Amino acid sequence: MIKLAMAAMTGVLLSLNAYSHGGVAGVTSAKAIELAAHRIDRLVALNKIDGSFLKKLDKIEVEVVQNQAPVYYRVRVSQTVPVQGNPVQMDIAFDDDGKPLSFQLLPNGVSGPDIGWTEKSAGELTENALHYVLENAKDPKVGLFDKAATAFTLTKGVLKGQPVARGQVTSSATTEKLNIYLKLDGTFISAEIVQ
Amino acid sequence: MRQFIFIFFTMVFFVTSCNYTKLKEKPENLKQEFSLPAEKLSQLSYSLIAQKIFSPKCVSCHGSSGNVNLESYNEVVKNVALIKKSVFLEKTMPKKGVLTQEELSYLWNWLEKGAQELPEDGTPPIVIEPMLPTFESINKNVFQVSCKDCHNETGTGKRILLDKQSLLDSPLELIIPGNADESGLIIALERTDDKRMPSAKEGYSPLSDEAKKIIRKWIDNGAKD
Repeated sequence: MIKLAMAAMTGVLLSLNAYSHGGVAGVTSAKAIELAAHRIDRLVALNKIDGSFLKKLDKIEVEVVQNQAPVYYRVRVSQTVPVQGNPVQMDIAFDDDGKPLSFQLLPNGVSGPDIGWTEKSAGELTENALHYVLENAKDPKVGLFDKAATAFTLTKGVLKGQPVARGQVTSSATTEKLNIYLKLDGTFISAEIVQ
Repeated sequence: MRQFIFIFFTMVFFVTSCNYTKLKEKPENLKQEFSLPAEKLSQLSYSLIAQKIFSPKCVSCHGSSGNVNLESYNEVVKNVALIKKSVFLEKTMPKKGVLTQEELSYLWNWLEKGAQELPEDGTPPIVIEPMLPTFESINKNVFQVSCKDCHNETGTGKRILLDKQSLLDSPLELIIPGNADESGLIIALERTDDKRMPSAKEGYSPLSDEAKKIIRKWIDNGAKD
């Protein structure tokens, strides 16, 4: 009888937990990435992290966390060049409504090129690129990158002879990638879905 | 050749006559257009004009940022001729929104009557309500004046709406009750880079230190009222 009661209670607890993470989150994973870019700006403004996370931002990855309520998304932010020492990464935890819960610096960053964004910071370019995804989420193809985004990477490139910022979004819902092109001042140019 | 000369001079005539009309908007016509009844004329004062026009329609750009300053009587009287020229003769102001016929009438007549600080009829001037650390007062004095053109359902700032519940619920932590220092709204108002709000790119002045202090107080008090 006790075993039966224990089993029933365990079942109830597990199903409650599953319900809490199995429902639709208040924000999509692309929104979580965008909120992470905003969070970086806030933490830099408050002098809680160094400004290179904003200026030398390289990549933001997002994953849905299981069984760690109220944490729903864990977002990992990578920089290419630190202010000093070795590059660091940062994990930011969000609840399912996108509210930031905590952040943690990690010592395992990887050095990358210093792109030297001239007009807008890498953080602001990231925000602007993600606005394209959020504003076009109703498009079935773009929607795959909104609901199931896994990573956003910012690089510098050339489009029609002009230097541009390229934000690339990957998704667990498709093998294709979404490229978003911006002028260096953050103005949207175009977007394309590529293999 | 004759035909060419005729067409050329006809074009010159039309172009110069357009320019002439624009620059020579006659004050007599304006007097008719913006007439006010005598009882209203005698009530005209700086505080009435500031409350009806300068504060809600002009100060968001014409603050302390270096443009023509319309924040106080002493600043306004220095710029009377410029106001008249840009609003009534060249019609280049206001750039954001429009003044109603009634507002134009009040402004025109006040300027014409010498831009007096106090009403002629001896009635006490309207007291401009001071801004208070409440949402209602902040909304009326700041958000509706300097923010609503962009931060509305269809504006460029549509991702951030400034009604009280949206401010409190935003994942961007725009308001952290009891913690103004870390509230996104305060950071946006106090920063000096190109992300400062109200937006310099859109032509807005920074908020006055007094306004920022009152918003801080509202948040530190728990952002309840």
